[in-house]
Amino acid sequence: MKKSGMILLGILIVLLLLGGSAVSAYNGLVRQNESIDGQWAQVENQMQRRYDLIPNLVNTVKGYAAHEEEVFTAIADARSRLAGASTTDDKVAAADQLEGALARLLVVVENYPQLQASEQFKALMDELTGTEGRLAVERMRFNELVKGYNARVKQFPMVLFARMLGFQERAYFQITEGAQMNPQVNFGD
Amino acid sequence: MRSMLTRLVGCGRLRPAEWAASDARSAADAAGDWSAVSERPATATSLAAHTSSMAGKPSSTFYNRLAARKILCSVLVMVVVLASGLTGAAAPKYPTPVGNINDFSGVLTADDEANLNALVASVLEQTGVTFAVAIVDNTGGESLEFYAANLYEEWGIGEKGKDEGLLILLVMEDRTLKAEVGYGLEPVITDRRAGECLDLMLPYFREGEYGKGLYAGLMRAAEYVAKDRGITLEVKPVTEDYGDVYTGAPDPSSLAWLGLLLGAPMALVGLLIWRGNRCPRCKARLNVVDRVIQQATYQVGGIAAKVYHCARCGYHAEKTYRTGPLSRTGTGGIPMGPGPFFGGGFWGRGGSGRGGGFSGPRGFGGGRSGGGGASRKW
Repeated sequence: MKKSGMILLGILIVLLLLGGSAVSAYNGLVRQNESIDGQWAQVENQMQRRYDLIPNLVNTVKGYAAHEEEVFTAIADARSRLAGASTTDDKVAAADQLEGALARLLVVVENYPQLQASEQFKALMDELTGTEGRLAVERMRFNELVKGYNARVKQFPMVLFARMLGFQERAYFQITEGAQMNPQVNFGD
Repeated sequence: MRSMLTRLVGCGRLRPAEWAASDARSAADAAGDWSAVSERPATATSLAAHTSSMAGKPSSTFYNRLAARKILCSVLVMVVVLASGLTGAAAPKYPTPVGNINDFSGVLTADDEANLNALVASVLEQTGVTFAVAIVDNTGGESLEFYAANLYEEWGIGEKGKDEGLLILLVMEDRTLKAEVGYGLEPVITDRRAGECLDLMLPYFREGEYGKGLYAGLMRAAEYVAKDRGITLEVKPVTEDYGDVYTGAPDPSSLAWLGLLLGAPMALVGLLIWRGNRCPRCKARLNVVDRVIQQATYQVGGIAAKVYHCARCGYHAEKTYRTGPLSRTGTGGIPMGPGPFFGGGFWGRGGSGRGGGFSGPRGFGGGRSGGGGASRKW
């Protein structure tokens, strides 16, 4: 009698330990998921900030280079597309397009030294490059969190249960080459 | 069970009955040659074989093999410990700060550093904001924004949670500079204002006056901070040595050296204890006991023998040695002072002779930055 009781107790302890580790693994994944979502919110924050800065910048440039219609239209289009985007993928694509348009604007600005020298423009460009830098850093942090999460979800033995529990691999925030606006601007050379 | 325990415990145990026979042999030996080390055969058949070698010479192969094994094990242990120590002290990607003003390219003079340190100390004292400067040759291929953001985070400029810090990074090879503003300081040092401070530095940098340029730019930033706090900033020269202040994580490379130096002898000792004293015949652990042959007095030393006995196969050997005279004052202990590993040399960095005796970075408490600020080329 006593021996079977000991065996049962042993099995019970083993089950408790397994259950405990399963619960903690699940909770860990939940936490990582949440922090990724939080970090994505930061990324969107910075994208919004950049979105808000652009009209000012465009107006300042228009003051000196009114006839560069093409660039202004491109920017306006990209902005409206971003405003209308609802899903994350749409937003990312629209943000890429906006970055491309901004890069073209900077190229245009190169031809107007007076514009480049104006204090207003310099201040605005500082703000814009600051926001770009923040966006890049938040994206980097987002990608790092996603990397950690993906590694965990894909590892054995978690991979067996992850789908069941609703944890899937998450997508990185990819930056399309060429659309990246180079934040380094030279002034007064 | 008992035999296993006794084998584990080893020396210090009472001698078993089977040693009485060997005692008789040892007593006979004791009457004769003191310095003889002999391998006593357990059976009569090998007695003849050993008679020829009993010329009073020690059986060198046993000790040679034992010594060789000990040396090999100690070398292996040292390699393992060294490897682990080295991974701890692996070349860090970002330089370690020596203070708030970190000139890794050697462009600042001692006067420059003194002035900048005075400014930084005053700002820290009067407003709680940490300024830091880093001058590097290159970013190692990393983009300027990421390098600045990661360096800021690595150094942890500003108090954790408050994140009020400002880092000015100069990359000499690219001739670029970046102002990295901590989260908490962003409302005060906006991107515009950061750009303004950097603009003030540019004319000086073009002349090669890096110290003056940095001072001008940081002064403007300090003015903004002071205005925000509603105080007037007073730049006081650094008069005293602040001493070693534990403001953040200890230097990882010194931790690695500490681990290495503590771990190596401990691992070595442990390994030798485990590996030493194996029976040459059956590889079991030998029981080693000290036996007094002649007791020491206060005037003259004594003679004792280390008795090696294998419980499994009956292997028996003795090694005599001399002991010192008795002392009236007791044995000396191993001096175990803290030594150079604890105290000043570990937590902070040693006080530098330059720059007004500023020892170690102050105000590096784990702050974070958002990647904002401004950048310029000169």
